[in-house]
Amino acid sequence: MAVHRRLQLTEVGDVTVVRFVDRKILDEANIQELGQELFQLVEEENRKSLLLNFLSVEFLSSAALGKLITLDKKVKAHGGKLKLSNIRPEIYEVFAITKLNKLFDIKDDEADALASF
Amino acid sequence: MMRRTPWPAFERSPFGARILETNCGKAEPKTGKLAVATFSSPLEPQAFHVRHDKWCEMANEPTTWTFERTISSDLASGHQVLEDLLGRLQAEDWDSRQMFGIRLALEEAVVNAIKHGNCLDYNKQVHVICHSTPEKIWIKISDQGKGFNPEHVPDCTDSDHIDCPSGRGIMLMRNFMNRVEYNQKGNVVELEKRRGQDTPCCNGCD
Repeated sequence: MAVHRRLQLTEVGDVTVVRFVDRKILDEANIQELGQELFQLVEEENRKSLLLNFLSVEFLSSAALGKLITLDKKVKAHGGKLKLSNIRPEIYEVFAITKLNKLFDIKDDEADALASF
Repeated sequence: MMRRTPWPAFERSPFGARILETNCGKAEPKTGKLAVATFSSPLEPQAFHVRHDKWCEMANEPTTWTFERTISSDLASGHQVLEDLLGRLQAEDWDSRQMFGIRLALEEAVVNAIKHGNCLDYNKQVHVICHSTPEKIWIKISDQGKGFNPEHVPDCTDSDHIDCPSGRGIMLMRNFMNRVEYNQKGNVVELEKRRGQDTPCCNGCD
């Protein structure tokens, strides 16, 4: 079983719910590590249904957005589904400004997101 | 021995002197603090030609405080300077959304300067200066890189580029600040946030 330093994982049925350890996702080294751990879920652990719960995340930079976009590509390439939930308004605005709210399937909360898989 | 790229402006005088060299004549600061604040640039004077009007405008405003640092091109130093500057701003009356936007814009600008401007070259430096006035904060971030043309950055909201993993930093800066301008060379960015005049929630989004 892979060790995850930047992520906390729980299984709800077939869905892997991912929460973030860091409240602020901005440090370059942490973002690189975060990206590797997320990609590992898809490429090595072969998880098909991922829900990223942003409840604990207060801040993220465009570098973190880049990792999410790459993750989305990898999930789609593996025939999986990726959903996001519990994004606070300031961070949702970042997704809206960059129009990534159209790329990602974003739900209000975890229950909504789980029901939509 | 580590050899750094020299900055003539700093070698001459770290404070004050070059304010006299601007095109708008000798500025008369309204407060004593501004006299200490530097408007000199670590970059060549011609790089600032297009923005001298703004420099002069700022020179005639009372400054509450000035923050200035020069750092090496490593991201840890960049984040430390951001935390120090944001600590100053948190003591003021910015609301949480404004603070979020300022933090995000500064993060993007400083990381751009270190990573894309100076290419993480430890021999190059990044200069950060922030003036706080009763009306606004004004920040200038300068690197020693080749510069770039911000107009050539692809629009990542375009459907052809929506899945491009980079290129959103400038867009976020422009949405969360009231003014974002680059010099001609593209290695200096000025950011301005006016108090009590927030940017609209998500400019141009639907």
